[in-house]
Amino acid sequence: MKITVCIGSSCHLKGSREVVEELQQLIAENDLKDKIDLCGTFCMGNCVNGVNVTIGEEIFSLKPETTKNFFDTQVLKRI
Amino acid sequence: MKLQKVIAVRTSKTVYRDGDLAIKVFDEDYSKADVLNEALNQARVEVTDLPIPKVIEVTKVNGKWAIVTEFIQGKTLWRLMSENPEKVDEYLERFVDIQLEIQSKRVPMLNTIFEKMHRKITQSGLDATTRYELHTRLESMPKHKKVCHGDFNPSNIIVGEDDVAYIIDWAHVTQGNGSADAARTYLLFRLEGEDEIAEKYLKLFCDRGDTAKQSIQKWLPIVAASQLVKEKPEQREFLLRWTAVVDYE
Ligand SMILES: Nc1ncnc2c1ncn2[C@@H]1O[C@H](COP(=O)(O)OP(=O)(O)O)[C@@H](O)[C@H]1O
Ligand code: FES
Ligand SMILES: [Mg+2]
Repeated sequence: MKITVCIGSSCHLKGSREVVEELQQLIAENDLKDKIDLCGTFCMGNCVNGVNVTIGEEIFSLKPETTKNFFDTQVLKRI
Repeated sequence: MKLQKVIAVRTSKTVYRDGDLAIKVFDEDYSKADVLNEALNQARVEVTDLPIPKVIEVTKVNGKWAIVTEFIQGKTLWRLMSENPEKVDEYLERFVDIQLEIQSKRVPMLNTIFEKMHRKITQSGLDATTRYELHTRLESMPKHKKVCHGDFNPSNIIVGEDDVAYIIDWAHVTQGNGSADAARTYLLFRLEGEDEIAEKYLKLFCDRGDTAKQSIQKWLPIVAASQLVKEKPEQREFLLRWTAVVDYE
């Protein structure tokens, strides 16, 4: 499963670094490194809703503090 | 060192920028030997006159190994290709010329592609008969001393603001037969589903390097077997088909 985090400048200001680091940690803790391919992308052209994260074609709007919940409710159920 | 600005993300690696430094931080459970080896490889190829960001230091940040290199301001060739699809042919030509330029260099201290492939075939998990076939095929291949980048793909070229194409990501560099390196690049495009680009690439590499297509195709089962070692489930079926030693010619 491919999860892509926007690391463009607007999403950067909204905390994409924290989102990335938290997702990496959650993936490691849940032993999902073989199953999840985490990557970054430049501006997705949807800055107002940042931090933008996609799972496949689906787009989600995250904040550092909602990342854990996103992982629990959206990522785990797709494994 | 400030790890604020993320410039690239992987499942177990993050590249940050701090001023004129790029900091590649590896996950806690990344092998120390792999990190140090990557830095050593880069240091070894740095002494050629190829445009390569210099290694500044190898260090630990928050308990994680990190390689600090010069930051190159620019865009990867991969990004340029996706932003300017009409220029793909031009970029591909440049891409091939860079690979040929790398292969014109000699760095005697590097590991050989022969030994690397030999080991990977052994570790591939393929059955003994297929491994035997692949080992025999490998042994019959001409042994050269060309520098082979080992992960030559457009995301590992950064076109700087000075229009110099810098080559990064030297973790997998070896010396040996350049056709093996071309076969690996071809495989990487195919694994990305970029079949059209893969074929264009192959043709360009053969034309510009005066190489027969067959000498690259002969390596495909071997490079496919070596990729199996990475154990990516979504690639497995595709790779298994390629390792079945048939004559592509
Ligand atoms: N020295 C650098 N200067 C600028 N960007 C860099 C530098 N090193 C890495 N990057 C960026 O980070 C990405 C990943 O780095 P790379 O060394 O290729 O790691 P990986 O082994 O994960 O592919 C590159 O594609 C590039 O966009
Ligand atoms: S910076 Fe993330 S969508 Fe624009
Ligand atoms: Mg790379």
